[in-house]
Amino acid sequence: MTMDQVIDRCRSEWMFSDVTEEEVEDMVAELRDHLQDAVLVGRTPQSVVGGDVTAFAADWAAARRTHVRHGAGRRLAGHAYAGSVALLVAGHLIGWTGRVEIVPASLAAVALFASVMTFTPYWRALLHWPLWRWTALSFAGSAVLLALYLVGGRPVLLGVPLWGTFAFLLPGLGLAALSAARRNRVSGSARP
Amino acid sequence: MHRMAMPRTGQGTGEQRHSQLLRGVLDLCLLALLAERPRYGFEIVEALAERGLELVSEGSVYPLLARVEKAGLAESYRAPSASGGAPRKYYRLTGTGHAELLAGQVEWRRFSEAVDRVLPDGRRGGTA
Repeated sequence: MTMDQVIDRCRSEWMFSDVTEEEVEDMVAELRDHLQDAVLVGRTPQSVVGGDVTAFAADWAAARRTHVRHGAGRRLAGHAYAGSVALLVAGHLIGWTGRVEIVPASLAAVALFASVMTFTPYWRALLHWPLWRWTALSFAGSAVLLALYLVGGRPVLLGVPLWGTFAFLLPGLGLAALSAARRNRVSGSARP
Repeated sequence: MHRMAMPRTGQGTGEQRHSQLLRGVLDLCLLALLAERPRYGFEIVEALAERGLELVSEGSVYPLLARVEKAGLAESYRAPSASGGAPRKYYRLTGTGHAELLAGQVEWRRFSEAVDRVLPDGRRGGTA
């Protein structure tokens, strides 16, 4: 692996590891400095990061993470909420309508999205997948769409008006604002 | 065919043991190097190697540095390196880090003396 490949691989891993953007840039700069020094004295980038670059990057990210990662249940709920919000907003925008109909396929899509995001922690490794895996994923994606079609668009379980979508969105926005304020407070107090 | 579980000998096992022993005291060595003077990651790896402690994967010093910093034992800052060029991220020991180092040194001495009492002294060819 070249120096740039090692840095790219680590950056991709860190970008999806609950490490802030500022910290990712700091880690990238520190790693680049070390790799440059190592190459200057005749060592390879591989000797710096070891045989498993992903494990190295994950270990470093875990050490830098300033907050505790939530359990699977809480992450599943968060992903299901985010998926539902995205589905409702997209329904309003794409259909340019004030009312979105929730059908069995909508629930199946949200459940599938939340499960994949929660229980496949290495979904980000997609970036490094070889062609055959991408092909397999495309077939799997088609099968999922077919399954959702078969699950059906009827009966309509619930009609959500525009104000309902806003009301559903509000708790998420509040939590996001609180979390951003807490992060700012932590990074502010950590700064010398 | 049945194979007996024999302890492996040779260079591979020696390296493995060296690596395991180092893992147990690497944080202490790191604190000791930072107590001498502030250093950046590459300098720490070089200083360890100069004293006979080569890391299998030298980048493993960074997760450790992050843990040490998160625990408040060290703090980091950016400054130009002695060789010039772009500013490097230096680590220096905090007051808590100095206290932790002292406690660790006492613990290490107690431990190594106990091991010395158990292991035969190779130079004399017998047990101590």
